[in-house]
Amino acid sequence: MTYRRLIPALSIPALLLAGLPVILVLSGAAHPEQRIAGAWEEVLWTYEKADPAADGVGPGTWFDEHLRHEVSKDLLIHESENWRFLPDGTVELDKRNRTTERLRWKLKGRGHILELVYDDDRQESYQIRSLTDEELVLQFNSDLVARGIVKIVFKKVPGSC
Amino acid sequence: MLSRFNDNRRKADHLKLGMLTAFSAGMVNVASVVLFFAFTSNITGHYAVLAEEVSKGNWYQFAVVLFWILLFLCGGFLSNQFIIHARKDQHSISHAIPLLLEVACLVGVGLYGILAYNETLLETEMLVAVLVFAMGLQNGLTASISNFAVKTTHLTGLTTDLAIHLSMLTKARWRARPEVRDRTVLLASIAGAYVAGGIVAGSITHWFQFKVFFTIALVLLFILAYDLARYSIRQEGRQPAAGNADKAGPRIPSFSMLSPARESASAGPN
Repeated sequence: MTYRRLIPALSIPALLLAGLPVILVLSGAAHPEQRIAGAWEEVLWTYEKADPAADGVGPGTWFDEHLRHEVSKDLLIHESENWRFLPDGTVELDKRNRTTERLRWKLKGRGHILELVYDDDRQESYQIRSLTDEELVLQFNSDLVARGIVKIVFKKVPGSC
Repeated sequence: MLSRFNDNRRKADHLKLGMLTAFSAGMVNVASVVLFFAFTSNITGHYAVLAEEVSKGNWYQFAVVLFWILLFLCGGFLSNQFIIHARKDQHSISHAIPLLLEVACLVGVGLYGILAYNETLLETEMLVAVLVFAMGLQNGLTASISNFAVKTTHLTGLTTDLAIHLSMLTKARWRARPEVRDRTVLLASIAGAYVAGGIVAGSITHWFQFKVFFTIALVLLFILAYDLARYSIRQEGRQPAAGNADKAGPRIPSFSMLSPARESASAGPN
């Protein structure tokens, strides 16, 4: 008979205990905003899924310069090579023509969406596929070339915070 | 709509409560996706994301999603606590408290969004958490007072039930039963109201931004005001409940009373 009294008495503590992993993990895990801060260098553009290559060997996922130009020409990230995420919410995009564009960056959702915002409040969203201390992988949907999801892979510039 | 409890509820009670709360849940869900890039009412999706984040080793995201799921759980838990611990003559008040808390959550999110939101990730996670808790409150309330007949914040179970009922309607034996037809209408109406709420929120959130949550709060306040008015009328005896029964339609049996297994058992071997 004791367990009949015990179960209701334990229900609320059990509910609170279920929150313990949340507290433990949040206190130990790196916050995405801290993890993304620093300089990142683009190393690869590719399609997430693609048809076979023209020669029929392997998937044709690699971008050449022309394809990359076509896919990104309407995006904020057009012709960017290096991205610096500053802790104050600014992101500096170093272009190939040696100019630098400054935008605002925000993380949304559970830290899985990167939003870039122009000064005139135009914005673009990229899904963060992976974010580690060494690598950042972004995805975005592209209507161009009708292939679907584009993946950009970055490597963290050593020494940047 | 709110004050009647379990098997005392009528078809019209279920329909009004289900449609209005589903409409508001659809609005909350779409508004939160537009503003925060996070769903707030479909917990099934969060469970899937939770598993995905564990498999990827994204422990921070795992903790955030677990936090949201637990808040939905707490919302439902709290709602039911108000209902089961209320005295019989206090149903109207105890059923109104979860909706009042939900309104407070929505207004709080709206005010914070307008006055203080800096779009940091922590703020986004906490505002989503408040909305998830509000959806837990609402779903706990509607499911509990309707004897699990009405669930309004997610459509997985509802769509399954609708499929079963549509399938039942293909047989003349089930089509002849008004409770099967009524429940099919109820389920389809809830699904339609949820989608309608989502469309409205998707259309206005870009212009209204955080003010959209005040609009949703108004829908919920309408439910409370309507129920309070009906309750007052009943209490004054000007419109006795028994006299309303025919107008409001027949009582809706709980889902278990409609389940094919039970019906088959009661019908005996064919």
